[in-house]
Amino acid sequence: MKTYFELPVKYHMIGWIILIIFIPFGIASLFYEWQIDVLQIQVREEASFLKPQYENFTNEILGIGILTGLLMICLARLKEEDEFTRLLRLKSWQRGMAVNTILMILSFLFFYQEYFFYAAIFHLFSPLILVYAVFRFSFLSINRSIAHEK
Amino acid sequence: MKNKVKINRQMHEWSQEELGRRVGVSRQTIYAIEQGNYAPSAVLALKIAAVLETSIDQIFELEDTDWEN
Repeated sequence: MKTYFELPVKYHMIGWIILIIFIPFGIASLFYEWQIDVLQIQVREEASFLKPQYENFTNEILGIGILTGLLMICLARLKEEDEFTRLLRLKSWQRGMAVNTILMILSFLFFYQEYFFYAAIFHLFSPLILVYAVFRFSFLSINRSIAHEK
Repeated sequence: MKNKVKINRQMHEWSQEELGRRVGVSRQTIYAIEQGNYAPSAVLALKIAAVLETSIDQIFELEDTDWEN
């Protein structure tokens, strides 16, 4: 009985391609206010305080793209996926979320004003980044131990 | 849980990779089981016992700590 959710192996590559395309534009958008003019859409009849008449949806599309790419990478099967690697993956979610929560607490304590804004943006993506990093690190550690045993 | 997977595997002169291939798991999984870092599912334990031509209780053995919560 299959009680877990995972994507086929090919989604790992697709996820990386999406990230390679979207991350540079995401950085350009965040730090240099790069936008796609076509995505400037009127959302209100009149502008009011903190509610502009036009919104540009470049950020939203880039954010969704990066999150989708990260999610694909995190959920894609390995070529040799089995019950042990699934457990490793599950533990990575647990540890990744714990580390992310600690980082968020530190951000609350030590970042203010625009730095907190950048930290908040980072924390939109950090859970998936950390989950993947912990998983790859765990896997690498095992491979190193195997090589050492040889 | 203690296990004698490594001894039984070596008696067959199989590598971890070979045993993994026969039971349908990765080499990393066999390594983790042999090191005692991973307790396999009942299905995998039965498969390992079957390919090593022995019974499951000859390979896997409970320890006192396994009874603690």
